[in-house]
Amino acid sequence: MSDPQEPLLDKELAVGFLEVPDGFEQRVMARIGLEPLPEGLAERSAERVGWARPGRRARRWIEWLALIGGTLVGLLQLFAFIFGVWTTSNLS
Amino acid sequence: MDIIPIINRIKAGDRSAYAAVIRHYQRPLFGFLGRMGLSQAQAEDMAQEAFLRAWQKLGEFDPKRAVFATWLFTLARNLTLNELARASIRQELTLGDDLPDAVDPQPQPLDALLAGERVQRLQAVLRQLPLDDRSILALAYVEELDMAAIGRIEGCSTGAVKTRLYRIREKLRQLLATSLEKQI
Repeated sequence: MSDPQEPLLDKELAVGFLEVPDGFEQRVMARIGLEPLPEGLAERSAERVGWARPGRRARRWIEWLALIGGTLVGLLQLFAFIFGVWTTSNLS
Repeated sequence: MDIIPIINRIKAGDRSAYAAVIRHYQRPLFGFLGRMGLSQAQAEDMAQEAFLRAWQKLGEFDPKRAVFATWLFTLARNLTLNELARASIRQELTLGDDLPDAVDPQPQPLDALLAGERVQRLQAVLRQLPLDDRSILALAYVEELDMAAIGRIEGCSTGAVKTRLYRIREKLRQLLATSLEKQI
C-alpha cells in the first residue's frame, strides 16, 4: 500500500526549502567580472585567432615528428658508437 | 539550455553571457543545496562558489563528453560534499545551527504553520541521512538530470541509482515516522 503522504513528500523535496536571494545573479556576476577569462577558453580562442600558434592537431603532429626524429638521431648515435668500437677492436 | 552559443560568446570576451547560465541554474542549484541540508546562508555561499568554480573551469568542459547540467552538478556536488565533510570534522555544522527559523511575529494561518513545521522536520530528517545518500536524493529532484546523469555524477550505474534511491526513500520515510512519533 502506498503512503498517502508520498506525493506531498515528493512535492516538498522537489520544490526545495530555499529561495534564490534577491540580487544573487548580480553578486555572482560582480565576482565573475574580477576573474580572468576561463583558461582553456582563452587558449582556444587564441588558437582560432592567431597565426603564431599551430592548431591542436598540427601541434600533435609536430610532437610526434620530434619524437621520431629524436629517436632516429639517438639510434644513429648508438650505431656510430658500436661501429667505432668494432672498428677499433678490428684495427688492434 | 544550449550552452555552446554561450561558451562562444564568452570566448569572444562577452562575460555577460554567463548571466544566462546563472539565471537558468540558480533555482535548481538552491533546491539541491537545500536538500543537501544547507541553510540559506550556507547555500548562498556554496552556490556562489559553484558558479565561480564553473566559470574558472569552463575551458575544461567538453560538450562531447558531458551535458552541461551534469558537469555543473558534479562540480556543485563535490564542492558541497567536501564542505560538509570538512564542517563535520570541524564539528561546526550542528543540526539546524543557522536555519531560517526565526519566529515570525505575525500570526500565520494554521495550514501555513503546519506546512512550515513539516518542512522543518523534513530538513532535520534529511540531515540525518549519510552524505552519499543525501546527495543522490538531492540530485534526484533536479529536473535537468535523469537517472543516467545521476549515475554519472555519483559514479554508479543507472540501476544502482534506482535501487539506492528506493532504499533512501524508505529510510527517509522511517526517519520521518520516528520523528513524528517523538513529537507526539
